[in-house]
Amino acid sequence: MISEEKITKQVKAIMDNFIRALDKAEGVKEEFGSERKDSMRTKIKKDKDPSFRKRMFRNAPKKRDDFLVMEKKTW
Amino acid sequence: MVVLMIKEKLAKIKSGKLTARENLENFLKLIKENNKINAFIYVNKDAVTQAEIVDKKIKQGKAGRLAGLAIAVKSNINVVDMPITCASKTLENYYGAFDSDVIKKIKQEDGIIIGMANMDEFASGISGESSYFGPTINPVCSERVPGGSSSGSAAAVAAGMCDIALGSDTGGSIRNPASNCGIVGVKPSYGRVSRYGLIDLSMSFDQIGPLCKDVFGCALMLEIISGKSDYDSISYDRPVEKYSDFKKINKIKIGLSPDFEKLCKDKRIYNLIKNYAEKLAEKTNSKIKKINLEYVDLAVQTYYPIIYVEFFSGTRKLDGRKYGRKIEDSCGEEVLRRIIGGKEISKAEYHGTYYRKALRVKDMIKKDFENAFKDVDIIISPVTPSLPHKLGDKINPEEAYAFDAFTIPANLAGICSGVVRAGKIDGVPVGLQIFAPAFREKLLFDVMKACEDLNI
Repeated sequence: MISEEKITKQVKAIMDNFIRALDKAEGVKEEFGSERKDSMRTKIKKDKDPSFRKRMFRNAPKKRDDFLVMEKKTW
Repeated sequence: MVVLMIKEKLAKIKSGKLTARENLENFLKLIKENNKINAFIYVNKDAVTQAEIVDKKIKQGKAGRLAGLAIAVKSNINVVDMPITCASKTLENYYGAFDSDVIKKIKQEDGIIIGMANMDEFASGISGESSYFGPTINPVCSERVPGGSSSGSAAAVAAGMCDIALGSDTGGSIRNPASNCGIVGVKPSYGRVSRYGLIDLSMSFDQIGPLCKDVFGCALMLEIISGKSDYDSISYDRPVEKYSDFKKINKIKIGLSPDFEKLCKDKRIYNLIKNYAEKLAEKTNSKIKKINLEYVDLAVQTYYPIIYVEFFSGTRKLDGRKYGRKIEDSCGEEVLRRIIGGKEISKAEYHGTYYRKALRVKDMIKKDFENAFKDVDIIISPVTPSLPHKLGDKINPEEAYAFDAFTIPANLAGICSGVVRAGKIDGVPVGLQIFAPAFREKLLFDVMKACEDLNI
Protein backbone atom coordinates (compact mmCIF):
# COMPACT_ATOMS: atom_id res chain seq x y z
CA MET A 1 0.00 0.00 0.00
CA ILE A 2 1.44 3.37 -1.01
CA SER A 3 1.32 6.00 1.72
CA GLU A 4 0.11 9.27 0.22
CA GLU A 5 1.26 11.16 3.29
CA LYS A 6 4.78 9.75 3.02
CA ILE A 7 4.98 10.60 -0.68
CA THR A 8 3.74 14.16 -0.07
CA LYS A 9 6.51 14.71 2.49
CA GLN A 10 9.08 13.14 0.19
CA VAL A 11 7.99 15.28 -2.78
CA LYS A 12 8.22 18.46 -0.72
CA ALA A 13 11.74 17.53 0.37
CA ILE A 14 12.78 16.80 -3.23
CA MET A 15 11.33 20.07 -4.49
CA ASP A 16 12.98 22.05 -1.69
CA ASN A 17 16.35 20.51 -2.60
CA PHE A 18 15.80 21.28 -6.25
CA ILE A 19 14.71 24.83 -5.67
CA ARG A 20 17.74 25.52 -3.47
CA ALA A 21 19.91 24.38 -6.38
CA LEU A 22 18.05 26.72 -8.73
CA ASP A 23 19.01 29.65 -6.52
CA LYS A 24 22.29 29.58 -8.47
CA ALA A 25 20.33 31.19 -11.26
CA GLU A 26 18.99 33.93 -8.96
CA GLY A 27 18.91 37.24 -10.74
CA VAL A 28 18.09 35.71 -14.10
CA LYS A 29 15.64 38.02 -15.78
CA GLU A 30 12.18 36.66 -16.37
CA GLU A 31 11.16 36.71 -19.99
CA PHE A 32 7.75 35.81 -21.21
CA GLY A 33 6.31 35.80 -24.66
CA SER A 34 5.71 33.60 -27.64
CA GLU A 35 8.41 32.85 -30.16
CA ARG A 36 5.91 31.72 -32.73
CA LYS A 37 4.71 34.03 -35.48
CA ASP A 38 1.66 31.90 -36.12
CA SER A 39 0.35 31.29 -32.65
CA MET A 40 -3.28 31.15 -33.71
CA ARG A 41 -4.77 27.78 -34.42
CA THR A 42 -5.88 27.53 -38.02
CA LYS A 43 -9.26 26.07 -38.78
CA ILE A 44 -8.97 22.58 -40.14
CA LYS A 45 -11.30 20.27 -41.93
CA LYS A 46 -11.47 17.22 -39.72
CA ASP A 47 -11.93 13.76 -41.15
CA LYS A 48 -15.09 12.44 -39.61
CA ASP A 49 -14.59 8.79 -38.78
CA PRO A 50 -18.06 7.38 -38.10
CA SER A 51 -16.61 4.57 -36.01
CA PHE A 52 -14.74 6.92 -33.65
CA ARG A 53 -17.70 7.56 -31.33
CA LYS A 54 -18.48 3.85 -31.11
CA ARG A 55 -14.87 2.97 -30.37
CA MET A 56 -14.49 5.72 -27.77
CA PHE A 57 -17.77 4.76 -26.11
CA ARG A 58 -16.55 1.17 -25.86
CA ASN A 59 -13.84 2.38 -23.47
CA ALA A 60 -16.23 3.89 -20.94
CA PRO A 61 -16.37 1.82 -17.77
CA LYS A 62 -20.08 2.44 -17.08
CA LYS A 63 -22.67 3.32 -19.70
CA ARG A 64 -26.38 3.11 -20.34
CA ASP A 65 -27.83 3.46 -23.83
CA ASP A 66 -26.08 6.46 -25.27
CA PHE A 67 -24.81 7.94 -22.00
CA LEU A 68 -21.88 7.60 -19.63
CA VAL A 69 -22.99 6.68 -16.12
CA MET A 70 -21.39 8.64 -13.30
CA GLU A 71 -22.09 8.76 -9.63
CA LYS A 72 -22.47 12.20 -8.12
CA LYS A 73 -19.82 13.43 -5.69
CA THR A 74 -17.29 10.82 -6.72
CA TRP A 75 -15.32 13.22 -8.88
CA MET B 1 18.68 -16.05 -37.75
CA VAL B 2 20.81 -13.70 -39.82
CA VAL B 3 20.36 -10.10 -38.73
CA LEU B 4 20.01 -7.81 -41.73
CA MET B 5 20.48 -4.07 -41.67
CA ILE B 6 17.33 -2.18 -42.63
CA LYS B 7 18.56 -1.06 -46.05
CA GLU B 8 19.53 -4.62 -47.00
CA LYS B 9 16.27 -6.01 -45.71
CA LEU B 10 14.18 -3.50 -47.68
CA ALA B 11 16.08 -4.45 -50.84
CA LYS B 12 15.48 -8.15 -50.13
CA ILE B 13 11.76 -7.59 -49.59
CA LYS B 14 11.47 -5.41 -52.68
CA SER B 15 13.22 -8.01 -54.84
CA GLY B 16 10.98 -10.82 -53.51
CA LYS B 17 13.83 -12.73 -51.82
CA LEU B 18 12.07 -12.23 -48.51
CA THR B 19 8.32 -11.74 -48.24
CA ALA B 20 6.68 -9.41 -45.73
CA ARG B 21 4.85 -12.46 -44.38
CA GLU B 22 8.12 -14.35 -43.78
CA ASN B 23 9.61 -11.29 -42.12
CA LEU B 24 6.67 -10.95 -39.74
CA GLU B 25 6.51 -14.68 -39.02
CA ASN B 26 10.21 -14.74 -38.07
CA PHE B 27 9.65 -11.94 -35.57
CA LEU B 28 6.45 -13.45 -34.13
CA LYS B 29 8.27 -16.75 -33.56
CA LEU B 30 11.09 -14.96 -31.76
CA ILE B 31 8.65 -12.99 -29.59
CA LYS B 32 6.93 -16.24 -28.56
CA GLU B 33 10.22 -17.99 -27.80
CA ASN B 34 11.61 -15.06 -25.78
CA ASN B 35 8.56 -13.92 -23.85
CA LYS B 36 10.70 -13.62 -20.70
CA ILE B 37 12.11 -10.36 -22.10
CA ASN B 38 8.59 -8.96 -21.73
CA ALA B 39 9.16 -6.41 -24.50
CA PHE B 40 5.53 -6.49 -25.64
CA ILE B 41 2.29 -5.92 -23.79
CA TYR B 42 0.26 -6.87 -26.86
CA VAL B 43 1.13 -8.63 -30.11
CA ASN B 44 -0.93 -7.83 -33.21
CA LYS B 45 -2.93 -10.93 -34.12
CA ASP B 46 -3.60 -9.57 -37.61
CA ALA B 47 0.06 -8.85 -38.42
CA VAL B 48 0.46 -11.81 -40.80
CA THR B 49 -2.76 -11.00 -42.67
CA GLN B 50 -1.62 -7.39 -43.00
CA ALA B 51 1.77 -8.62 -44.26
CA GLU B 52 0.04 -10.67 -46.98
CA ILE B 53 -1.75 -7.51 -48.18
CA VAL B 54 1.61 -5.71 -48.30
CA ASP B 55 3.11 -8.62 -50.28
CA LYS B 56 0.40 -8.15 -52.90
CA LYS B 57 1.19 -4.44 -53.12
CA ILE B 58 4.91 -5.21 -53.50
CA LYS B 59 4.14 -7.54 -56.43
CA GLN B 60 2.06 -4.78 -58.02
CA GLY B 61 4.89 -2.30 -57.50
CA LYS B 62 2.66 -0.09 -55.35
CA ALA B 63 4.25 -0.58 -51.94
CA GLY B 64 5.45 2.22 -49.66
CA ARG B 65 8.88 2.98 -48.21
CA LEU B 66 8.44 0.78 -45.13
CA ALA B 67 6.90 -2.12 -47.03
CA GLY B 68 7.08 -5.32 -45.03
CA LEU B 69 8.95 -3.94 -42.04
CA ALA B 70 7.72 -4.81 -38.55
CA ILE B 71 7.24 -1.78 -36.30
CA ALA B 72 6.86 -1.98 -32.52
CA VAL B 73 4.98 0.92 -30.91
CA LYS B 74 5.30 2.24 -27.37
CA SER B 75 2.08 1.70 -25.45
CA ASN B 76 1.36 5.43 -25.08
CA ILE B 77 0.88 6.04 -28.82
CA ASN B 78 -2.65 5.48 -30.08
CA VAL B 79 -3.17 2.72 -32.63
CA VAL B 80 -6.76 1.95 -33.54
CA ASP B 81 -8.17 -1.19 -31.90
CA MET B 82 -5.00 -1.99 -29.97
CA PRO B 83 -4.66 -1.71 -26.17
CA ILE B 84 -3.06 1.63 -25.30
CA THR B 85 -2.36 0.87 -21.68
CA CYS B 86 0.58 3.20 -20.92
CA ALA B 87 1.69 0.05 -19.05
CA SER B 88 -0.77 0.99 -16.32
CA LYS B 89 -3.63 -0.59 -14.43
CA THR B 90 -5.48 2.70 -14.98
CA LEU B 91 -5.72 2.14 -18.75
CA GLU B 92 -5.55 -1.65 -18.68
CA ASN B 93 -8.75 -1.96 -20.71
CA TYR B 94 -8.40 1.11 -22.94
CA TYR B 95 -8.32 0.47 -26.69
CA GLY B 96 -7.20 3.08 -29.21
CA ALA B 97 -10.14 4.76 -30.93
CA PHE B 98 -8.02 6.33 -33.66
CA ASP B 99 -4.57 6.21 -35.24
CA SER B 100 -1.99 8.78 -34.12
CA ASP B 101 -0.51 10.94 -36.88
CA VAL B 102 2.71 8.90 -36.78
CA ILE B 103 0.80 5.62 -37.10
CA LYS B 104 -1.21 6.93 -40.07
CA LYS B 105 2.06 7.80 -41.81
CA ILE B 106 3.63 4.40 -41.06
CA LYS B 107 0.56 2.58 -42.38
CA GLN B 108 0.54 4.75 -45.51
CA GLU B 109 4.11 3.56 -46.16
CA ASP B 110 3.10 -0.08 -45.57
CA GLY B 111 4.90 -0.60 -42.28
CA ILE B 112 3.20 -3.30 -40.20
CA ILE B 113 2.49 -2.70 -36.51
CA ILE B 114 3.73 -5.86 -34.80
CA GLY B 115 2.59 -4.92 -31.32
CA MET B 116 2.45 -2.55 -28.40
CA ALA B 117 5.71 -2.35 -26.46
CA ASN B 118 6.17 -2.41 -22.71
CA MET B 119 7.28 0.79 -20.96
CA ASP B 120 7.50 2.47 -17.58
CA GLU B 121 4.02 3.28 -16.29
CA PHE B 122 2.84 6.52 -17.97
CA ALA B 123 6.43 7.05 -19.20
CA SER B 124 7.38 7.96 -15.63
CA GLY B 125 10.58 6.05 -15.12
CA ILE B 126 14.17 5.55 -16.13
CA SER B 127 14.57 1.80 -15.69
CA GLY B 128 11.74 -0.11 -17.40
CA GLU B 129 10.81 -1.68 -14.06
CA SER B 130 7.62 0.23 -13.22
CA SER B 131 5.23 -1.35 -15.74
CA TYR B 132 1.99 -2.80 -14.36
CA PHE B 133 2.69 -5.70 -16.75
CA GLY B 134 6.06 -6.49 -15.18
CA PRO B 135 9.59 -5.25 -15.85
CA THR B 136 11.27 -5.39 -19.24
CA ILE B 137 14.47 -7.43 -19.34
CA ASN B 138 17.56 -6.05 -21.07
CA PRO B 139 18.26 -8.57 -23.87
CA VAL B 140 21.97 -7.75 -24.10
CA CYS B 141 22.72 -7.52 -20.38
CA SER B 142 20.01 -9.32 -18.42
CA GLU B 143 21.20 -8.46 -14.90
CA ARG B 144 20.99 -4.70 -15.62
CA VAL B 145 17.85 -2.65 -16.31
CA PRO B 146 17.10 -1.87 -19.98
CA GLY B 147 16.41 1.78 -19.17
CA GLY B 148 13.24 3.71 -19.69
CA SER B 149 10.74 4.76 -20.22
CA SER B 150 10.70 3.26 -23.77
CA SER B 151 12.05 0.01 -22.34
CA GLY B 152 10.01 -2.41 -24.45
CA SER B 153 10.72 -0.51 -27.68
CA ALA B 154 14.49 -0.69 -27.05
CA ALA B 155 14.41 -4.30 -25.86
CA ALA B 156 12.31 -5.39 -28.87
CA VAL B 157 14.86 -3.85 -31.25
CA ALA B 158 17.89 -5.20 -29.36
CA ALA B 159 16.40 -8.70 -29.17
CA GLY B 160 15.64 -8.68 -32.91
CA MET B 161 11.86 -8.84 -32.37
CA CYS B 162 11.06 -6.02 -34.80
CA ASP B 163 12.79 -3.89 -37.43
CA ILE B 164 12.15 -0.43 -36.00
CA ALA B 165 10.36 0.78 -32.87
CA LEU B 166 8.69 4.02 -31.88
CA GLY B 167 9.31 5.51 -28.46
CA SER B 168 8.56 8.83 -26.84
CA ASP B 169 11.17 11.06 -25.23
CA THR B 170 10.35 13.68 -22.60
CA GLY B 171 13.65 13.76 -20.72
CA GLY B 172 15.60 10.87 -22.25
CA SER B 173 13.07 8.07 -22.59
CA ILE B 174 14.33 7.04 -26.04
CA ARG B 175 18.02 7.75 -25.56
CA ASN B 176 18.47 6.17 -22.13
CA PRO B 177 17.15 2.69 -23.11
CA ALA B 178 18.89 2.92 -26.51
CA SER B 179 22.18 3.38 -24.66
CA ASN B 180 21.53 0.59 -22.14
CA CYS B 181 20.47 -1.86 -24.86
CA GLY B 182 23.28 -0.97 -27.29
CA ILE B 183 21.12 0.36 -30.13
CA VAL B 184 20.45 3.66 -31.95
CA GLY B 185 17.76 6.13 -30.81
CA VAL B 186 16.75 9.65 -31.77
CA LYS B 187 14.85 12.43 -30.04
CA PRO B 188 13.74 14.88 -32.72
CA SER B 189 13.60 18.66 -32.22
CA TYR B 190 10.49 19.81 -30.37
CA GLY B 191 7.78 20.29 -32.98
CA ARG B 192 9.43 18.13 -35.64
CA VAL B 193 6.98 15.23 -35.18
CA SER B 194 3.26 15.53 -34.51
CA ARG B 195 2.24 14.48 -31.00
CA TYR B 196 -1.37 13.93 -32.02
CA GLY B 197 -2.38 10.61 -30.50
CA LEU B 198 0.45 10.49 -27.97
CA ILE B 199 -0.78 10.21 -24.38
CA ASP B 200 1.20 13.05 -22.90
CA LEU B 201 3.62 13.06 -19.99
CA SER B 202 4.66 16.69 -20.36
CA MET B 203 3.32 18.66 -23.32
CA SER B 204 6.25 21.11 -23.41
CA PHE B 205 8.83 18.38 -23.92
CA ASP B 206 7.26 15.20 -25.38
CA GLN B 207 8.44 14.03 -28.79
CA ILE B 208 7.94 10.73 -30.61
CA GLY B 209 11.09 9.25 -32.15
CA PRO B 210 12.60 6.07 -33.63
CA LEU B 211 14.79 3.29 -32.22
CA CYS B 212 16.61 0.84 -34.47
CA LYS B 213 19.76 -1.26 -34.69
CA ASP B 214 21.19 1.03 -37.36
CA VAL B 215 21.26 4.74 -38.15
CA PHE B 216 19.61 4.22 -41.56
CA GLY B 217 16.49 2.71 -39.96
CA CYS B 218 16.11 5.65 -37.58
CA ALA B 219 16.73 8.17 -40.37
CA LEU B 220 14.18 6.56 -42.67
CA MET B 221 11.54 6.36 -39.93
CA LEU B 222 12.05 9.98 -38.89
CA GLU B 223 11.80 11.09 -42.53
CA ILE B 224 8.39 9.45 -42.66
CA ILE B 225 6.90 10.58 -39.35
CA SER B 226 8.17 14.19 -39.42
CA GLY B 227 6.21 17.19 -40.56
CA LYS B 228 3.46 19.64 -39.76
CA SER B 229 0.10 18.34 -38.66
CA ASP B 230 -3.14 20.28 -38.43
CA TYR B 231 -3.93 18.25 -35.32
CA ASP B 232 -0.85 19.38 -33.37
CA SER B 233 -0.53 23.15 -33.12
CA ILE B 234 3.09 23.04 -31.96
CA SER B 235 4.29 20.98 -34.94
CA TYR B 236 6.39 23.16 -37.22
CA ASP B 237 5.92 23.68 -40.92
CA ARG B 238 9.49 23.12 -42.00
CA PRO B 239 10.68 21.03 -44.93
CA VAL B 240 11.68 17.46 -44.08
CA GLU B 241 15.06 16.65 -45.60
CA LYS B 242 16.07 13.19 -46.81
CA TYR B 243 17.78 12.15 -43.61
CA SER B 244 18.63 8.67 -44.90
CA ASP B 245 20.62 10.08 -47.83
CA PHE B 246 23.81 10.48 -45.79
CA LYS B 247 26.42 13.09 -46.59
CA LYS B 248 30.02 12.48 -45.60
CA ILE B 249 31.08 14.58 -42.63
CA ASN B 250 34.23 16.64 -43.09
CA LYS B 251 35.85 19.40 -41.06
CA ILE B 252 33.19 20.06 -38.48
CA LYS B 253 33.59 21.56 -35.01
CA ILE B 254 32.74 19.13 -32.21
CA GLY B 255 31.87 20.59 -28.82
CA LEU B 256 32.86 18.88 -25.56
CA SER B 257 31.95 20.44 -22.24
CA PRO B 258 33.92 20.13 -19.00
CA ASP B 259 30.54 20.63 -17.31
CA PHE B 260 29.57 17.17 -18.57
CA GLU B 261 32.75 15.70 -17.11
CA LYS B 262 31.83 17.08 -13.69
CA LEU B 263 28.35 15.53 -13.90
CA CYS B 264 29.68 12.09 -14.88
CA LYS B 265 29.79 9.92 -11.75
CA ASP B 266 31.56 7.04 -13.48
CA LYS B 267 34.63 8.66 -15.05
CA ARG B 268 35.16 5.58 -17.23
CA ILE B 269 32.06 6.63 -19.18
CA TYR B 270 33.37 10.16 -19.76
CA ASN B 271 36.78 8.84 -20.83
CA LEU B 272 35.15 6.42 -23.27
CA ILE B 273 33.09 9.25 -24.79
CA LYS B 274 36.10 11.59 -24.97
CA ASN B 275 38.22 8.96 -26.73
CA TYR B 276 35.36 8.25 -29.12
CA ALA B 277 35.02 11.97 -29.92
CA GLU B 278 38.77 12.14 -30.62
CA LYS B 279 38.55 9.19 -33.02
CA LEU B 280 35.55 10.77 -34.76
CA ALA B 281 37.43 14.07 -35.08
CA GLU B 282 40.49 12.32 -36.53
CA LYS B 283 38.46 10.31 -39.04
CA THR B 284 36.46 13.33 -40.25
CA ASN B 285 39.27 15.94 -40.17
CA SER B 286 37.31 17.75 -37.52
CA LYS B 287 38.28 19.76 -34.47
CA ILE B 288 37.23 19.35 -30.86
CA LYS B 289 36.40 22.57 -29.05
CA LYS B 290 35.78 23.10 -25.37
CA ILE B 291 32.40 24.71 -24.72
CA ASN B 292 30.82 26.27 -21.67
CA LEU B 293 27.31 25.29 -20.59
CA GLU B 294 26.89 27.30 -17.42
CA TYR B 295 23.47 26.11 -16.30
CA VAL B 296 23.48 22.53 -17.61
CA ASP B 297 24.15 21.14 -14.13
CA LEU B 298 20.70 22.44 -13.14
CA ALA B 299 18.86 20.49 -15.83
CA VAL B 300 17.38 17.83 -13.53
CA GLN B 301 16.29 20.38 -10.91
CA THR B 302 14.73 22.52 -13.65
CA TYR B 303 12.96 19.69 -15.44
CA TYR B 304 11.12 17.96 -12.59
CA PRO B 305 9.06 20.88 -11.24
CA ILE B 306 7.87 21.53 -14.82
CA ILE B 307 6.97 17.93 -15.61
CA TYR B 308 5.31 17.41 -12.22
CA VAL B 309 2.95 20.29 -13.04
CA GLU B 310 2.33 19.28 -16.64
CA PHE B 311 1.83 15.61 -15.75
CA PHE B 312 -0.63 16.55 -13.02
CA SER B 313 -2.53 18.69 -15.53
CA GLY B 314 -2.42 16.02 -18.27
CA THR B 315 -3.71 13.25 -16.02
CA ARG B 316 -6.83 15.12 -14.86
CA LYS B 317 -8.71 13.46 -17.71
CA LEU B 318 -8.02 10.07 -16.14
CA ASP B 319 -10.82 10.32 -13.62
CA GLY B 320 -12.41 6.97 -14.46
CA ARG B 321 -15.39 8.43 -16.27
CA LYS B 322 -14.61 8.18 -19.96
CA TYR B 323 -11.97 5.49 -19.79
CA GLY B 324 -10.15 3.29 -17.39
CA ARG B 325 -9.89 3.80 -13.66
CA LYS B 326 -9.22 6.89 -11.62
CA ILE B 327 -5.45 7.28 -11.84
CA GLU B 328 -4.81 8.06 -8.15
CA ASP B 329 -6.60 4.85 -7.16
CA SER B 330 -4.72 2.57 -9.50
CA CYS B 331 -1.23 3.91 -10.20
CA GLY B 332 2.23 2.99 -8.96
CA GLU B 333 4.46 4.98 -6.64
CA GLU B 334 6.37 7.15 -9.12
CA VAL B 335 3.21 8.16 -10.99
CA LEU B 336 1.55 9.12 -7.71
CA ARG B 337 4.68 11.04 -6.68
CA ARG B 338 4.48 13.12 -9.86
CA ILE B 339 0.75 13.74 -9.45
CA ILE B 340 1.12 14.81 -5.82
CA GLY B 341 4.19 16.91 -6.73
CA GLY B 342 2.28 18.65 -9.52
CA LYS B 343 -0.71 19.25 -7.28
CA GLU B 344 1.48 20.78 -4.57
CA ILE B 345 3.47 23.00 -6.93
CA SER B 346 0.29 24.19 -8.63
CA LYS B 347 -1.10 25.53 -5.37
CA ALA B 348 -1.40 29.31 -5.37
CA GLU B 349 0.81 29.60 -2.28
CA TYR B 350 3.75 28.07 -4.17
CA HIS B 351 3.25 29.88 -7.45
CA GLY B 352 6.57 31.31 -8.50
CA THR B 353 8.62 29.47 -5.92
CA TYR B 354 9.00 26.34 -7.98
CA TYR B 355 7.39 26.53 -11.37
CA ARG B 356 8.29 30.02 -12.55
CA LYS B 357 11.81 29.67 -11.24
CA ALA B 358 12.17 26.44 -13.18
CA LEU B 359 10.85 28.11 -16.35
CA ARG B 360 13.45 30.87 -15.98
CA VAL B 361 16.32 28.41 -15.72
CA LYS B 362 14.92 26.39 -18.63
CA ASP B 363 15.28 29.53 -20.71
CA MET B 364 18.89 29.96 -19.56
CA ILE B 365 19.78 26.37 -20.51
CA LYS B 366 18.25 26.96 -23.94
CA LYS B 367 20.38 30.09 -24.33
CA ASP B 368 23.46 28.15 -23.17
CA PHE B 369 23.00 25.78 -26.11
CA GLU B 370 22.21 28.59 -28.58
CA ASN B 371 25.47 30.28 -27.61
CA ALA B 372 27.43 27.03 -27.78
CA PHE B 373 26.13 26.31 -31.27
CA LYS B 374 27.59 29.66 -32.46
CA ASP B 375 31.03 28.09 -31.95
CA VAL B 376 30.48 24.41 -32.75
CA ASP B 377 28.38 22.33 -35.14
CA ILE B 378 27.51 19.52 -32.78
CA ILE B 379 28.03 18.66 -29.11
CA ILE B 380 29.00 15.25 -27.79
CA SER B 381 28.21 13.94 -24.32
CA PRO B 382 27.61 10.73 -22.39
CA VAL B 383 24.00 9.46 -22.18
CA THR B 384 23.98 8.51 -18.50
CA PRO B 385 26.29 9.55 -15.64
CA SER B 386 26.76 5.95 -14.47
CA LEU B 387 26.09 2.41 -15.66
CA PRO B 388 22.47 1.21 -15.42
CA HIS B 389 21.63 -0.26 -12.02
CA LYS B 390 20.99 -3.92 -11.43
CA LEU B 391 17.46 -5.16 -12.00
CA GLY B 392 15.52 -5.03 -8.72
CA ASP B 393 17.99 -2.73 -6.92
CA LYS B 394 16.23 -0.06 -4.90
CA ILE B 395 17.27 3.50 -5.70
CA ASN B 396 15.70 6.66 -4.29
CA PRO B 397 13.80 9.10 -6.56
CA GLU B 398 16.57 11.72 -6.67
CA GLU B 399 19.15 9.09 -7.69
CA ALA B 400 16.77 7.86 -10.38
CA TYR B 401 16.13 11.38 -11.68
CA ALA B 402 19.89 12.00 -11.92
CA PHE B 403 20.19 9.26 -14.58
CA ASP B 404 18.65 11.73 -17.06
CA ALA B 405 21.12 14.54 -16.30
CA PHE B 406 22.68 14.34 -19.80
CA THR B 407 19.51 13.75 -21.79
CA ILE B 408 17.15 16.31 -20.19
CA PRO B 409 19.08 19.37 -21.57
CA ALA B 410 18.02 18.51 -25.14
CA ASN B 411 14.35 18.51 -24.11
CA LEU B 412 14.71 21.78 -22.19
CA ALA B 413 16.47 23.41 -25.16
CA GLY B 414 14.10 21.90 -27.77
CA ILE B 415 17.05 20.65 -29.86
CA CYS B 416 17.52 17.26 -31.54
CA SER B 417 19.70 14.55 -30.13
CA GLY B 418 20.70 11.00 -31.02
CA VAL B 419 22.44 8.04 -29.42
CA VAL B 420 24.83 5.54 -31.01
CA ARG B 421 26.82 2.66 -29.51
CA ALA B 422 30.13 3.80 -28.02
CA GLY B 423 31.36 0.54 -26.51
CA LYS B 424 31.03 -1.51 -23.36
CA ILE B 425 32.18 -1.11 -19.75
CA ASP B 426 32.11 -4.23 -17.56
CA GLY B 427 30.14 -5.90 -20.36
CA VAL B 428 27.40 -3.23 -20.19
CA PRO B 429 26.60 -1.26 -23.39
CA VAL B 430 27.39 2.45 -23.21
CA GLY B 431 25.98 4.97 -25.67
CA LEU B 432 27.31 8.25 -26.99
CA GLN B 433 24.99 11.22 -27.30
CA ILE B 434 25.12 13.83 -30.07
CA PHE B 435 23.29 17.15 -29.79
CA ALA B 436 22.55 19.22 -32.89
CA PRO B 437 20.71 22.56 -33.15
CA ALA B 438 16.92 22.56 -33.46
CA PHE B 439 15.74 21.26 -36.86
CA ARG B 440 19.25 20.22 -37.91
CA GLU B 441 18.30 16.52 -37.96
CA LYS B 442 20.10 16.08 -41.29
CA LEU B 443 23.40 17.10 -39.71
CA LEU B 444 22.63 14.93 -36.68
CA PHE B 445 22.09 11.84 -38.84
CA ASP B 446 25.18 12.52 -40.96
CA VAL B 447 27.29 12.62 -37.78
CA MET B 448 25.57 9.53 -36.36
CA LYS B 449 26.32 7.69 -39.61
CA ALA B 450 29.98 8.77 -39.40
CA CYS B 451 30.03 7.34 -35.85
CA GLU B 452 28.47 4.09 -37.02
CA ASP B 453 31.09 3.83 -39.76
CA LEU B 454 33.88 4.05 -37.16
CA ASN B 455 32.90 0.47 -36.28
CA ILE B 456 33.79 0.80 -32.61
